[in-house]
Amino acid sequence: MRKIGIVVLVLFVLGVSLGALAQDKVKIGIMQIVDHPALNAVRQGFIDAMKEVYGYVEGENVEYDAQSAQGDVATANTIARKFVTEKVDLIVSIATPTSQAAVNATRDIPIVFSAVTDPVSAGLVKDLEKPGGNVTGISDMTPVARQIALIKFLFPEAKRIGTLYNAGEVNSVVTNELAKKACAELGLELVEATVASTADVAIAAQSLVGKVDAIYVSTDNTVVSALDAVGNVCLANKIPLILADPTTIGKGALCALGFDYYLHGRQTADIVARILKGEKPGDIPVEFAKKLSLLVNPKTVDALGLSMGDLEVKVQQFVEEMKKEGVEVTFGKVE
Amino acid sequence: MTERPRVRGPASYAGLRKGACGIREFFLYSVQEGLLFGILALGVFITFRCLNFPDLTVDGSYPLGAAVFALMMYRGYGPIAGVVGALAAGALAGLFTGVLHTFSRIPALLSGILTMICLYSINLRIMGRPNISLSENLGHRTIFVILRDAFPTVPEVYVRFLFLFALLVVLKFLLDAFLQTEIGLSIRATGDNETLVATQGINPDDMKLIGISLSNALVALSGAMFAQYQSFVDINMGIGMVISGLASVIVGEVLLRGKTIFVMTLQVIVGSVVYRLATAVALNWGYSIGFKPYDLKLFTGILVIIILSFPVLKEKFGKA
Repeated sequence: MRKIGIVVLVLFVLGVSLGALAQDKVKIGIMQIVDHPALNAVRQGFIDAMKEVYGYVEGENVEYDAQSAQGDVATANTIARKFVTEKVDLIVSIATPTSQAAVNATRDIPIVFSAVTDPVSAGLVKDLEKPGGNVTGISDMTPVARQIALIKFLFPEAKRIGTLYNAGEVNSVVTNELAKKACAELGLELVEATVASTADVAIAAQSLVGKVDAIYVSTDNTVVSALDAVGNVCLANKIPLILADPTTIGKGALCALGFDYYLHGRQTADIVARILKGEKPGDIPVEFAKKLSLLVNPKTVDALGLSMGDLEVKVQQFVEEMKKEGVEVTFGKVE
Repeated sequence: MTERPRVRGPASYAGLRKGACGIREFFLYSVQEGLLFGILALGVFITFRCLNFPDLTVDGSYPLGAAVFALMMYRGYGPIAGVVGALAAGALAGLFTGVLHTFSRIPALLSGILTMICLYSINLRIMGRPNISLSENLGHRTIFVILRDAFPTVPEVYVRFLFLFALLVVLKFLLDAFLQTEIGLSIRATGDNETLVATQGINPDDMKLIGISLSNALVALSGAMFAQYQSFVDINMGIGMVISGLASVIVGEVLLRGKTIFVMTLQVIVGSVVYRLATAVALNWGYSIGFKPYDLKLFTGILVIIILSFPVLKEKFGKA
């Protein structure tokens, strides 16, 4: 009788602990600095890849706490603290200030950052190859040199390239420096126009008319938010507009070469899954975008008086050249 | 077809739980942030309440303090020099607003806005880029890092809390003492009745210049301290600071009664702490009542409205 009692007790304890284990979900805190289409795409790509590739289904075996600081740096700190209090298993921080707030809030909980252009100067990691500590992630450094090379490839006679950016965005300042360097190497001149808010974008674009042969817009949040204003100026003056983010290609832009922020989010999931399987964040090198896509807008091709056939041939040549350099570029057209 | 992995418990990552903090620490952290913003709120109190001067310089002088602090850290002067530099820069910014108002006769609101706009570009120039790190990873030793290493046996959260508490107590009593001096009393009198002050042979313009400079020096100090607290400076960190400072002042006035200087500065600090706690509570537990992350600003707005309406509501319905 006593033995049966013990067996029943053991089974009961086992059952309870198994039940508890089954309910034990992985809790992931996701924080982003502001609700922005690109940042939202990162978040969605991450959640989708976690489910589709790694089998982490929300509500079943993983729980997400997604927060936005709404542009408020102080709130970013409060959110980071909240995640630490809740003892989340891992923090996914999207964009630079949110990642800095997360890194400052904990030295124990693993942090995977994404959409950060320069993780070293942001103080997130000491070294890209060997981050150390509890932090690793993905840099969203856009392939500036390749974008400038594309402009030179498509328009060999171009001499001056205009660009617009917000001097208040750290990522834009970094990419602009790279653009300047890339232009100098190809014998081009970069003509800069800066904006402080979306309200300045149209005037800034207008100021470039007559001075430049093409306009290049990188991943600047402010300019991208008012991209239609740039597109209108470019269409009216028949200036080719080349973008860095294929997801933002719309009215007036000729083409875009870069990576998709949704895929950026999916790549974030690859790192997160490795950490959840037991790898140490500090041992995982910081990654860069693995796949690029090149999108062309046929309507703009017509509006600029170019031939779609000629352009397609050139673009295919460019894709081949990129392949020789080991970069996978997929070519597509805007519907 | 992808293989579903075995359900993994949170314990699967070794060391995951280590050092995560509990509810008590959470409150300590929120109070710390309240104390940090309390410095700013004391500054806002001087202009809005003592001088009756609605000063919007704050949104620019707060990141200015942080920017100057960061610049001095990058140039190799320690955090103490950095804080002194921030105080001086803040005072200069305040002086500029004061001169715009008293010399050029530009209305108060516009003077502050003009300085704030100028400071955006100036801050960018000082920082060289819109976001700079003060991380230990880059070898920066902020006051909090130095204190942490000085008291290795005490948990970091307590070290920070005690330091900030002591700093606020010192600042409060210094400000109390200043406001009792002849200049301090003249500043308060200027806010009440400028003409009367002038008949006493005191130049109200001078009092304004001193008051606004002192206010922005405190605001810049708050920025420099918060930059160390979060280990980075961002050009956008000043957005909404004047509102948060004013809300703190008002929340404090409703929570604590009294008209003496001692009580008034205490109101400001208590108000700042309560305001930060309320925001943190809303973020942490708001979801249980269907609260979404983007509702935060609405929540803080409603909170301030309720607190402000409270005396009227009590008067209307309390007697019935």
